[in-house]
Amino acid sequence: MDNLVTESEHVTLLEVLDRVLNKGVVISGDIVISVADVDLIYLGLKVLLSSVETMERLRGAPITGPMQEPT
Amino acid sequence: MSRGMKIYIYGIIDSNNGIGESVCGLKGAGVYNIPYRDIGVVASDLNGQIGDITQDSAVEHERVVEKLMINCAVLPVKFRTVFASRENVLSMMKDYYSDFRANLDRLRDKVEFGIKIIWPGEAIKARLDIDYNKNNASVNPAGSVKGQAIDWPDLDGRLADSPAKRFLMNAFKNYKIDKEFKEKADGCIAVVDHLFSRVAVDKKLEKLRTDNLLLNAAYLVDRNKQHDFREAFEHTRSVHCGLKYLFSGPWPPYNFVDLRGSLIRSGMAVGQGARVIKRLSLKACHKVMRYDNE
Amino acid sequence: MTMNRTVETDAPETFIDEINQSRTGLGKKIDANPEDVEKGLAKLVLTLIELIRKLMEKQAMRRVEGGSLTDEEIERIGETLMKLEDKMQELKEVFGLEDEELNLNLGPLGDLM
Repeated sequence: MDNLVTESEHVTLLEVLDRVLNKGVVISGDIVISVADVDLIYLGLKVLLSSVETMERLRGAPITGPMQEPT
Repeated sequence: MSRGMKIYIYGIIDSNNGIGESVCGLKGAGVYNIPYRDIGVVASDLNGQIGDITQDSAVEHERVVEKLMINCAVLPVKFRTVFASRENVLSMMKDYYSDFRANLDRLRDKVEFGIKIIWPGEAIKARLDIDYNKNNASVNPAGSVKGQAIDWPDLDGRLADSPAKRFLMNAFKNYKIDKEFKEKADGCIAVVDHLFSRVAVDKKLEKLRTDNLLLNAAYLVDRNKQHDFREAFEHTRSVHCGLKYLFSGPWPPYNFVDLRGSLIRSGMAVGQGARVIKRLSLKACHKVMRYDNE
Repeated sequence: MTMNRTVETDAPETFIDEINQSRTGLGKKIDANPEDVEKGLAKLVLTLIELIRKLMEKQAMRRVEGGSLTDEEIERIGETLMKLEDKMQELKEVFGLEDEELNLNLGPLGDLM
């Protein structure tokens, strides 16, 4: 049984990329802006929406939008 | 976009202590642990050089993760994940904590191995094409089911007289060949996979990414079974030598991190519209087009 | 205790070829560029149409396989599939989209097609 050829740098890079580009912990569900292909993560949307919920609670009524019926 | 310090993250670790030995990160930046409850996220400061993160840095990124893996359970983070501020990082940790915690527990002392296999797919398909034409030239150009002729009307040769019929016949031929090709692939994969699965705890199989790339598999293996897995691979290679192999690992468990819980929960926080979209996505994701679920 | 990480193969060139063939680039992101936003929308719509077209084609193939289709039905199905494919080709050309681009990445759930 002959040995496998070891370490082609190119193949190693492909294997690394195969994993790090798409796998592992992928943070999603918030505003992810891409700057030069880098995922820059802003959590602004969550902050904005939770403040909307807070406002609704204070007003005692939902703020109507396209998905909601006014009460 | 704000000026100033951005935070680049490498992985989530099962520790809220500082990092012992000094690890060198991207662009020579120092690597440190940001603790959150009983876990932490390993990071580097990024001085606004976001555009500098090129493909070459991927190898540096991976080296950091591997160093971390020596001492504790790590959930590797996707390359090029940058947070605008430390507050954002901590907010993210709060959202994902329970999923991170569960993943760290499940993946402690587990490593990943990658196996890719190439088979003569194009040649096999060409053979199937020849056989198909041979079997179906005379009577039923559109094909037969397991050797039995389909009851096509118009068997007097008029079948091929309209572009629509020719189109359909050709589409059907491709469909049949494709189907048989996939069946052959499944058979071959099952044999190989069986041998590896015995030593593995979990697996992710990608079948036929291209016609020749029969299998791209990730196996989750217990740390103390690493050598057993390597042996299983060598054994397989010696038995099934008509195939070409690529073996890699041990890696941190890139393919076995499961954050679907957080995905669903974060969807609920964003409101009804998003919830609907996420529900539809999950439904659509019963992989309509992925044959390995058929 | 842990083995040293290794990447070994008996056919490096072959694997490089096959892997490169299937790579669609280092991640697809929608930039803030306005032209690309339109293209992004076209891509989304066409992807969904392509999904439906593929489902229809699959369904048609199963019917053909099942047998007992009338001459008229064969003609009609063939014509429909042919027209659908031509139309998709046309739309792809209009928006400058390649086959591989018509896919949706659903994050941790993988690609749609």
